[in-house]
Amino acid sequence: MIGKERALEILKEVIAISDGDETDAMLTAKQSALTRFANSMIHQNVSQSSSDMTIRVVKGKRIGVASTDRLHDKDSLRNLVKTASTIADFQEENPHYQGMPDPAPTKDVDAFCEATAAYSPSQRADAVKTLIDICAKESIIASGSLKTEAGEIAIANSKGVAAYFPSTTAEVSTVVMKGGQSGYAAASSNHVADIHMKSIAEEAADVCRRNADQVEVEPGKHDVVLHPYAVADLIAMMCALEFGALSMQEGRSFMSEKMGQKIFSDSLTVWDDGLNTSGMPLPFDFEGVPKQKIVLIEDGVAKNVVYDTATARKEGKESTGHGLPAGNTWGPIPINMFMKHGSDTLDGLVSKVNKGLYVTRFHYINPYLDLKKALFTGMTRDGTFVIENGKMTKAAKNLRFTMSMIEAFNSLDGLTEETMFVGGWFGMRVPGAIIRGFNFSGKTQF
Amino acid sequence: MKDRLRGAVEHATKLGASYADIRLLNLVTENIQVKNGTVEAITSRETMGFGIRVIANGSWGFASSSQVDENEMKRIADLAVQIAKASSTLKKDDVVLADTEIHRDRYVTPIKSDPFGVPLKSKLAVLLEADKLLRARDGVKIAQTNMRFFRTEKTFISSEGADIEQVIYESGGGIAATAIEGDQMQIRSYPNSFRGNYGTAGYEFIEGLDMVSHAPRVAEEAVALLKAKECPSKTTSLIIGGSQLALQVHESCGHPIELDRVFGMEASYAGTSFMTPEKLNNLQYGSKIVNIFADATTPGGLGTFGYDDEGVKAQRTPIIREGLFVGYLTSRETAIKLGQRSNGTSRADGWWNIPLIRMVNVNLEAGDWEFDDLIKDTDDGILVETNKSWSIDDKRLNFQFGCEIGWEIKNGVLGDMIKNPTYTGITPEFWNSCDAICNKNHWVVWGTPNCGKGEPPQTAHVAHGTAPSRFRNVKVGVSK
Repeated sequence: MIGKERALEILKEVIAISDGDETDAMLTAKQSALTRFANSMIHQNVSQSSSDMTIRVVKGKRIGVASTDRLHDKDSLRNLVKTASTIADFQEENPHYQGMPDPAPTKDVDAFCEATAAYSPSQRADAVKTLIDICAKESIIASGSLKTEAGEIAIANSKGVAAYFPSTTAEVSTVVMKGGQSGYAAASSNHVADIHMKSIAEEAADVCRRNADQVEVEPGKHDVVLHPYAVADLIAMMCALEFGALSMQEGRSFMSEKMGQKIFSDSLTVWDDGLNTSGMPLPFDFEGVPKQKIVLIEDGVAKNVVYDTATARKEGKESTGHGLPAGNTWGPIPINMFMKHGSDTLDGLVSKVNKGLYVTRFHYINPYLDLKKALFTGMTRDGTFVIENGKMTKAAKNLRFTMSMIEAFNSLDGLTEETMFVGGWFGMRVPGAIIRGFNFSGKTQF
Repeated sequence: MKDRLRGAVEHATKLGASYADIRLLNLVTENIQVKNGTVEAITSRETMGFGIRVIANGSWGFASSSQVDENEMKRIADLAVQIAKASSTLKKDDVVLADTEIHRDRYVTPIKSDPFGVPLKSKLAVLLEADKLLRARDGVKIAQTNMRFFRTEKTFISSEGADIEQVIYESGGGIAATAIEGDQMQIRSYPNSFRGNYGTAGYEFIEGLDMVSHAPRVAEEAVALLKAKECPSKTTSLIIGGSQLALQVHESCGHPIELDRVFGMEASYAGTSFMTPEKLNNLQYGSKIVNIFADATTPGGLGTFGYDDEGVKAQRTPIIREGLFVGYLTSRETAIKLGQRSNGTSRADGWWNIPLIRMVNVNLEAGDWEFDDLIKDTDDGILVETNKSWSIDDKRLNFQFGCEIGWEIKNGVLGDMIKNPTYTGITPEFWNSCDAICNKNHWVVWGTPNCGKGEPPQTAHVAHGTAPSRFRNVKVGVSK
C-alpha cells in the first residue's frame, strides 16, 4: 500500500510539473490474488502487484491523456506529463470541454479490512478445500474462484481536488456439476470474514442436486421467479447503457424521452449510492467528485440519470460523482446500485406462480439488439426449474430469452424482502423478483 | 536485463520449482477517438512488468509485478513458488507439460510504416474528414471514427532454455454513423462494428481501410435503415457477410475448441463445450465444404505472432476438415492429455496474467463461389451484414445474432433493405446447413481485439478469415 499521504504527494508533484492550464491525475495501486479451481482442484493460482497513473493535461480546450505503470522513477513520471502535454499541443479544441471539478469534501467510508488484505495463498487454498470437500460428499465436482484484493485510489487536480480511498474485496463464485446437472452460488464483500465457504458450497450443491432430469420447456411467454443473481444480471446491463447522462443527451437511452414518465411497475425503485457500506462503496468518482445518492427510477417513474462534470455543466447542473477515468468516451455510469425490496420470500414468490419458471442466473446477456427499447437477449444457466401450482416441481433445460427490459420491469409483480449483494463490475444489492410474461424465444439442448 | 530474467528463473528453481518461466512485457498503446467533429480522446498508455510462472510440488503458481528490478523479481519468484505449493494441497495429479522444441529466436511483425511514427496531425486529418462526411448526411446524430495502435515487446525465458524476443505491432480503426428518430436508433459501421477492423500491421493497414471514401455510404445506410422494413420472422436461406461470419466462427467454433474449456477449466465462468474429446474425429460439425484451420501464421492476421507465451512456435492446425471435427486449440498442459504436442495457442493478456488457450486466426477456408453468383442462385432468403448483437449458451450450442443491416433476396436478386435482422440456431445443425462459401476474392481476415476469457478477466486479440457464405433453413427475425 502506498498510503494516503504519499499517494497525494506523488500526485501533487506530478501536477506541479505540468504546463497545462488544468491538470488532473489519478493513482491506483493494488495487490490482487485469485485462486481458481476446476474439477475439484486448484488449477490456476495467481497474484498481481501493480500501480498505475493516468494524467490529463488541458491547454485551453485541448486535452491530452496519458497513463503508465512505470511509477518507480521520476523520469517516467516526467515523461508521462510530457506525453500528455504533447498530445494536448497537437490535439484539436474540444468545444464541449467544461473544465475540471472544483474541490468538495468527500465522506470517509470504511471499506478496508486488514484480514482481507493479508489473506495468504494457504488461507485461500484452505477456504477452497472447505467448498470442494462439501461437494465431494455427494460426488459433485466444483469449479470457481476465490479472489482477495487490497487496493487504493488517489485523485487530485490543479484546482485543489485531493481524494484518497483504500478498500479491500473478497469474492467467491462457484459452478458445481454432477453429470449434466449444475448449480451456482457466489458472494462478495469488503471483508473476507463475510465469505462463508460452507454456505456457498451448500447453496450451489443444493441447486445442482435439484437440477436433475431436466425437461424441455417450449419457448414462449412464461411467468418467472428470478433469484437475485438473475435480477442483478439484468439490471447491470441497464446501468452500463441506459442510466448515464451522456446516453440520455445523445438520445441513445430509453430514458431520453421518458424522464418524469411512469415506464415501469410501481414496485421498481432503483438508486445508486456510493457511500452505502451494504454495497461495495466508493465515496468519490474518477474525477474526485463526491458521490451523491441518486434515485434513477422511483415507483416505476424515470427520475434521474447520473452525471460527470462534462455532462452536468452542459445542462447547468453539478456532477453527481459518477465520472469514469480520463480518456473514457462512455460518459458517467452508476456502479453502486441498489433496488428496493418487497415483502416476500423466494418461496413466497414461487407460490404466486401457477405455471412458470424459476431462473437462478442468466448467461451471456447482450443488450445491443435495440438500445432504445432495452431489448436484451441471453440464456438461463445453472438451475432453471419448472413451477407448477406454486411449487418448483422439476428441472428444466436452459432457454433463451429475448425481451425489452422496459416491458419486463413493467411486469414486475413481487419482490423478496431479503436483498443480496451480487458482486462484479456493476456490483449491486437487489431482491428476488417475479416478472409476468417473460419472453423466451428459443431453447438449447441441456 | 536478460541476466536478471534468467536469475529470476534460476531463483525459482532453487526454491523448488521443477519448471519456471518469466515474461517481461512492455506494451505501448495509442487510442484516438473522434465523435461529432470533436476529438473526444487521444490517449497514450505504456505498461511494463513481468510475470513468473512456476510448477512446484506438481502444481502451478504465478505472480507478477510492475516493479521491474532484481529484488522484486526474486520476491515475485518466491511468491510464485509459495502459491504453487499452496495449490498443491488441492491437486489430483501433477501438472505435466507436453514436450516442445526449445527456441532461441527473435520475431518482429513485418510492417511497412511504424504507426507510432506517423504524426498525430495526419491521423486526425483522416478521422476528422471521415467524421465530417458522416455528419454531412441529414439524420446522422452521432458520427464516430477511431484508430488504435499497439506495440508489444516481450521476452520469454524458461528453465528449459527458451529465450524468445518478440515485437508485435497491431493497427486498426473504423467509422460508425448512428441515426436516431423517436424511439428508433440505427447504426452502420465500416469496416466492422465495435471499432472497426484490426491486424498485425503498421499504419499501412489504416491506409488500406480508406475510411474516408466509405463514410458517405455508411451514413446513407444508417439513415435509410430508419425507414427500412423490419426483418421477417421465418425460416429461410441466409447469406452471411464476412465480418458477421467471423463472429459466428468465433463464438460457435473458436471458443468450443479451446481444450482447457473442454476439460472444464473455464466451467465456472464462460462455461464448457459441447465438443468433448469423444467427438474428436467423429463429429460431423459442418457440411463437406466447411474447412476451418487455426493459423497463427496468417499474414497480417490479428492472431499472428512468432511464438505463443509458452515458447511454442506459431503454426497452422486443422480444426474442421470437410466438415469433420479433427482438432483443438491446445497448450502444453492440455495437449499431453490427448497424447499430443501443443499447437501454440497459449497466450496471456499483459504481463499480469497467466497464459490461457486463446484463439489465433481461426479461419474458414474460402470456397469457390463468386458473390454475385451466390445471390443469383438464391430464390428466397436474406443477406445480413455487420454484427450488432451476439449471445451463445455456455456449451456453445444455441446462438442468436443480430446484425446492423440486411436485404431481402427474391428470385436471385437483392431486394429491399431490412432493419434489425436477427438469426438463431444450434451450432452443428447450422454449420451442416452451409451449402456455399465465396471464393478467395471475397475472403478477408477480420481482427477482434476484445475476446474475453478467464478469471481474472483477460482480453485477447484474435482474428477470423471468412468469405460470405450461405446457410439453408435458418430461423430469422427472432428479436421479439
